[in-house]
Parts: sequence; structure tokens; C-alpha cells
Amino acid sequence: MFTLNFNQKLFRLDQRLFSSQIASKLAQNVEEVAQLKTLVDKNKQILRQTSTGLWESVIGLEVHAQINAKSKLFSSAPHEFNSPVNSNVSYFDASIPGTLPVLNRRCVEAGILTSLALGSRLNMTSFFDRKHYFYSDLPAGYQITQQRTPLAVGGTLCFPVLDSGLSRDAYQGSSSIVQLQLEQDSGKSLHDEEGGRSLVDLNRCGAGLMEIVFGPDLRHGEEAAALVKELVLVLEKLDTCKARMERGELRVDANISVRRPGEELGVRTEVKNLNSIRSVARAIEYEVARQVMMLEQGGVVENETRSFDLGMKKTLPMRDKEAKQDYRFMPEPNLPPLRLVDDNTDHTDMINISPIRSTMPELPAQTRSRLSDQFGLSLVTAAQLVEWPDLLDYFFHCVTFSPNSYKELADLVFTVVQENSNQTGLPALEIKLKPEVLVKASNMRQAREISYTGMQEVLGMVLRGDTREVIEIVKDRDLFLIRDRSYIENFVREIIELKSDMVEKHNKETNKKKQGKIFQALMREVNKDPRVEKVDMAAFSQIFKKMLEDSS
Amino acid sequence: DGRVVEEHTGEGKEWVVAGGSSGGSAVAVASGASLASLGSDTGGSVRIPAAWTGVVSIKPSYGRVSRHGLVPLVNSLDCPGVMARSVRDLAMVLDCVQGRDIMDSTSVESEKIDMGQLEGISVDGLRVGIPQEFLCEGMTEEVVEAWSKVASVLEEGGAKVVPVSLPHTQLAIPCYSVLNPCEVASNMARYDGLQFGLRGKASSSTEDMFAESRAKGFNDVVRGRILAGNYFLLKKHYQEFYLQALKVRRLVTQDYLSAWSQVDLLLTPVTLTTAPTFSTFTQQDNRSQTATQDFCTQPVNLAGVPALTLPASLSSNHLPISIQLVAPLNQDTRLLRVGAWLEDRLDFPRLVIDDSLETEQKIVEMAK
Repeated sequence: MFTLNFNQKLFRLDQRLFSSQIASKLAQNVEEVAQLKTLVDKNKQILRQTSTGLWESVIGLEVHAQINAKSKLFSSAPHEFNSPVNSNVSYFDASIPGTLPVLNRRCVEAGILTSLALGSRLNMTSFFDRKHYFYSDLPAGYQITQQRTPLAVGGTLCFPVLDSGLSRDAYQGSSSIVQLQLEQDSGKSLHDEEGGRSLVDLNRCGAGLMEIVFGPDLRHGEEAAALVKELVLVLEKLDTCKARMERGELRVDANISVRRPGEELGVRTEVKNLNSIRSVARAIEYEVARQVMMLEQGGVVENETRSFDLGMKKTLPMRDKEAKQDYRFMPEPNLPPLRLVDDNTDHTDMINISPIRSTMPELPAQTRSRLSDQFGLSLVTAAQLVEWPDLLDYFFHCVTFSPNSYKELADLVFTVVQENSNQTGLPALEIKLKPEVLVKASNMRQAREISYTGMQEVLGMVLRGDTREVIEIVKDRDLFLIRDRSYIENFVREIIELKSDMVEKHNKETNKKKQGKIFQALMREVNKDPRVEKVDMAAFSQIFKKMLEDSS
Repeated sequence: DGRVVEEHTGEGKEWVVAGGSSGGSAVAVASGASLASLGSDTGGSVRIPAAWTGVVSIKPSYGRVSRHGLVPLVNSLDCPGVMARSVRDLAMVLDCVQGRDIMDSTSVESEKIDMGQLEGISVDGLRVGIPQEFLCEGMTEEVVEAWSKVASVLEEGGAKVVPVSLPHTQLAIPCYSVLNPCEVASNMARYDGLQFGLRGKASSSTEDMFAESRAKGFNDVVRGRILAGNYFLLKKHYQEFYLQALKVRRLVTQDYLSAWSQVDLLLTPVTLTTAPTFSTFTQQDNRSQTATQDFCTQPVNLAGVPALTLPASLSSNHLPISIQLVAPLNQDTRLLRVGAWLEDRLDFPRLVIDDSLETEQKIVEMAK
């Protein structure tokens, strides 16, 4: 991990920052939060410890995922990123009187596929409702959503929690799903402070969203970040949402409360519009610490909506959204009930679940299992590969050339292949080092025909443009490891003669453990000899041991 | 509505209103300015002015004519309607505007209207129901007489005219008085002055701008409905008002469904009286007006079924009195057929436009 180039170092550093220790260190800079120590009890429950005792933080996420469709949920206006302001607005999106919603089939199909992937139960009949509130980015004065009966209910999302600094080995977290519903996105309003005005862009207004509501099952900002990461992977795989958080295609709201273990749920706050995985973890950790502080000081947690300021690393109350709004829900009268069928007949006017189900791809969890079961990779390695589809693809190509060590292959993919891919900006499969060549080199190393360094040299040359066969390069650079018995025996005799006092010490030692240590010391001396590079050290070690035995 | 000089009243007498809300459309047809016109009928707003001005109208089955482009009042009740001076004209226009529109998700397919269907009709064996509950307080004798007269005409033609009961009729207007404000409050939420329309000058905050735009842009009637509607839709009131109103609507609808097992059509009055004078009209507030005159028309909207109005006779002070035929859902053609048969026999004075060549030449001469 420490031979990475600059970009990758940043990435790894990023992941480290998720660690609760650092997150609370940052939070400590702010006075209004408690000093929390995170610990894991014998039942593997995550708890927080302060001077007053134990706390449990309860977190439930609400995710808004923009549906990957060519047009909006109820209008034919295009749905594209970065279009000129107010250029993708139909009369309906601008709420011109007399316009009516027309449901976009693709959006429903995306909702169905996503629900199936999450193990949710689809409602064969669902309804649309109006949710009323006044805001400059909501021209109609209401949003069309599904409040009474959403598209799907239930389900679970499992996700790996790795590298978390949570004093636990990598583990499988999970969160239940309450429901998945289809709804409209709002436009965007920008505040021009100087000009004393607000500017409204309706390009996004009416775009289709899947709102996925999770149960209050998470216990730490880390888990939430891991959940979001997994959800992003699933949605990308399904292609129902592009899930680029930096583009606002996936937004997360977090409902957070704290309580003493075993007690009822505490009052929750909602932190809205978290638009990066880093924000999700940090905002939650800050809010937990803030709430604990409030309660320990005898205050109360208010049921309010807050936003997260990434710069200040704090959550702040949102001024223009009141906590308690009566949305005056009413059924949407212009849309008939959404009815689904699930059978083998050919319906042109109904949406059929059956053909959609048959397009389900292999999901990240299944790929990870496959990588573990079929190829013996660790959970961490499997998770990393699944996270980088480009490299995963490369790995699977390698597999077809019969590698001897999947583990080493995976390591090489994450070092050599990824590094070069980053440097050249090329997709992994397009770099100069092709899967077949990598496997050949790795296999030679596994067979101890060449050393690890030798292999690196070969790969480096291929990357720099050498198109010869691996074996040619090895021959040319004289990288073959020496295994010749007589050569090694001579070498060993030299060492025995040179280090005769150490050898005597070794042979005289009766304690096996101490003897082993002396042997290691001897090997360290041997490694100083430059000839070591050319020798198959496994064979050397074996012969050395035997010869030491014989000499004693 | 507006002040309209009814052709029957003559000089010196007080003006009489045409009714509403599609009063203008009705007058255009009645005065000969237009062959036919369109209006929208949510609680009777096409049929009432048609009845008061003496023209034929139809409120089609809900969903038969697309609402795309219609500024909505109550989305679940609104029906674009047609007015004309004869049933045959009406049928021609309806045939042009009806049918499934993908831009309106609540619109349905409808079979083409063949003008031949309106000839050679017999009403022998047709079962016609007279809903007893429609004989209500405030209905004038002359209206009841016209209703009876038409029933007799049908009977003479071989129809079987029987009394029926629509027991939940009187619940229709209270039900509407909840459903209407709720949908109005919702539909009017878009008038905030931001994208279009009147914009208030307040600039301290968006909320202030919205509030000023809406206070200035809406009159008392609309504001009253919005406030009532928002009140009914509050979470704590939803069950008690809106949900309850939906259930009552279901009861009213079921009345009609039950009736169709006994009869093929219903025959009712349209309004309780003839067109009122302007002064009478302006004395009562809007809500009371609706509560009274919509009695025979409102339940039809709740049930979504089609209705045709036909002028039947003139009152003693020469104002038109119409009757209403109601048919099962999507049986609009049945209305047109029976309407055409009746029209030929009722002999109501009709405006005939002389567009002959001689007359045109005479007018040209006179102009010189």
C-alpha cells in the first residue's frame, strides 16, 4: 500500500479519515460537542462512552436517487446534466395551468428493478399523492410523490464495513428498508446575495427520483458511509441511477437520535442534503456528539431539520425550512392508480414485473461472495475489487488465463495495474500490460522461476512498451532464479565458513525457538549478499537448514 | 356570468343572468354568434347556462373529452362540455373533441359518433327513471310541469317511465362543498407570481412576495375556497372532511349504479327555476347560489356519468326551461339519440339563422 502514487495516496488517506478517532478529534475542536469514545461490546454492538456512562446512537437514512432516464417523471422534457439554465423545462414543469402529468414508463421500470434488487415487496397497486408546500423551486406549490401506498415496501441492504477503525474486524452491516417511492425532484434556487435576489433554475424540476427510506438500524457514521457506498455500487450496476453524488444524483438525509442503551428512542433530528460519503460520516458523528452533549448538560434535543457545513464541520439548524410543516397530503387526481402485473403474457399497456426481473445483473454482494468462494479472496480484497468495476473486469480477464495465485493477482491489479491506469488515464484493459501477460509473469513468480523483484522488472518493461513474450524478457534480463543444487550448496558452505561462530551457536542451541531466531539472524546476514537476488531463496533456505543440521 | 340582455325580456325590463360559469359560451350560441361552443362543467357550469339561455348542452362522461389545456377547478370532476342549438350540431362537435389523449392520463377511448345513429330512432321499450329526490324545495311549478310534460312525451312514444330512488342525492352538495375547496386550494397553489401572472412588489422575502401576489391576485370567493380547502386538508382534519367526502361521493355514485339495473336513462330537471334577474342573483352569495341551483346537476359530476340538457318549454315570462337526461357511464351516444328524438317532438322555439343569399344581398343594400 505504500508504493502508491500521489493520487492513490489521497484516496487511501480519505478512507482513513472516516475513522471515528479522527472524526471525533475534529469534532473536539468545536466546544458544543461531547468527548465520545466508541467501543464495541461483547455482542458486537457499537456504543459510545462518556464520563456519564454509555450511549447508543440510532441512525436511519433517507436517500434520494435521481432516476437514470432520458426524460422526467411526468413530462417529456429532457433530463440532462449541465444543460443551459432553464432549457429543459416543459409547460408542465413550469406548472402552466392546464398541463397534466403523464407517467414515464422507464422511471417505473427503474423503480421496480431497484426494489427487486433490494429485496423489497412490490405493491401491485400504488398511488400518487400531492405534498403541498410553498418554495421558489417548486412551481406547482406541491410535489407529486407516493405517500399512502408507495411502489415497494420492505427489503434489506447488506454492506461490508471495512477499514473503519471501529475496533472490529471487517464485518457485514445491514439496514432494513421501510419503503421505496417514486417522486418528483424540485428545481434549484440560487441566492444572489449581492443582487438581493433569488435565481430559479427549473431544469431539474420534475426529474424522477426514487426515495429509499431505511429503518433506524445504523449505529455509527462509518456504517452509514458504508451503506451509502454499497447503495451507489448497486444502483450503478443496475444502471437505474448514475449515483454521482458530486452531481447531486444521489443525496442523503440522516435521521439521528441518541439514547441510553435499552431505553426508548430519543428525539431525532434530520440532517439534510449530505452530498458526499465523507459528509455522511462526519455529519452523523458530529450530530451524535452534539446531542449527547445537549442531554448531558440537562438540555433537550429538538425535533428539527439541520444542514451540514463541511467547512465548519458542524450541523446547523436550517433557517428556511420549519420543522413541523403540514403538507396537506391529497391524492393526485390526474393520475390513475399504478397497477403492475407479474406474469408471462405480453402486456403492451401494463408494466410487467416478470421481464424486468429477468434482466437483474449480478449484484455487488453476489460478486463479492463469488470472489471469496471461487477465488479465495479476503472480504477486504473482494470489496475493493467490486468497488472498482474497471479493475474487477481486468481481474476476471486474468482469471481466464489460469493464474496460480488469485491473491497475488489481485494484489498486482491494485498496485501495478491501477497505478498505470491512473497515470495514463486509460481504462485498465487498455493499458500496455494485458491480462495474459500479467498472469504469465505472476505464474513464473509463483513457480519461483523468477523473484518478486524480477517480476516487477518484467512488468515495468512491458508497461514501458516492451512487446516481447515474458519468457524472452526474463531470458534477456537474466532474471531466472538459480535453483541449481550444487551452486546453492557452495554458497551455503561459504556462509557456514564465514559465519562459523553464529553457526556454532545455532547448532549448540537446544531451545527450538531460540534456534529459529538465530537461523533468522543468519538469513539476514545472507540477504546482505548481492547474489541473493539471483537465487531461489526458498530452495536456499531449505538447503541451508539441512546443511546446518548435517553439520551439527 | 355577466349581465346579459335575454332576448325574451325586451326593453325596459330588468336584465336576466345567463348563469355560469360557462355563461359566455352559452350566450354566444344562443345569440347566434357561434354555431357551437365549449365550456367546462364541474357542478353544472355548462348545463345551467345552457338551460337558462335555451340551448342544448352535454356534459360527457368523465374522461371522454381530454382535459389537457383546461385550466382545472376540481380535477376529479371537471368535464369539458359542448353547447349548440341542436342535438345534431352537438353530436358533430362532440365527435371532434372526444377520445383518448395521451397528454391526459384520465382520458379514455370512445367510439365514433355516427350521424346516422341519430335518425330513425324509436323509444319503444326504453326504460326511463324519474328520481323522486330531485323534486326539491325551491323548485317552481313551471319547472315541474316541464319535467312532467317531457315524461309524457316519452311515454306516448312507447317508453316505460317509472319512479326511481337516488337516496343520497341531498348529500351531493355538502360533499362537493368539501371536495371543491380542497382541489381548488391545491390547484391554486401554483399562483405565486414567480413563473407567470401577477407578482407582488414585496421584496423582503420570497414568502412576502408570494403572500402579496396571492392576496392581490385572488378575489374573495377564491380566497375563501383556498382557506377552507387548506383547513380540510390539514393532517388532523383529513379523515373527518376529505376522506369522509370521498366516501359520500362513493355512495352517490352507487345510487346511479343501482339505478341502471332498473332503467336505461334518468329524466330530471336542470335548474330549480328559470334564469334569475341580476338583482336577485347578486343578493345571494356564491356559496348559497351553488347550494341551491346545482341541486340537479352536481350529483351527476360526482358520479362521473354523462348528461344532456334539452330546452323543453318557455315559462310564463318567456324564459327557457330545460330538462336533463342522464345515462350510464360511456353511454353518451344513448343520450344523443334520445335527445334527438325528443328535440324533434318538443317543438321548442329555435333560433334559425337566415344565411340565404337574398338576405345577404338585402343587408349589403341596406348598408349602402
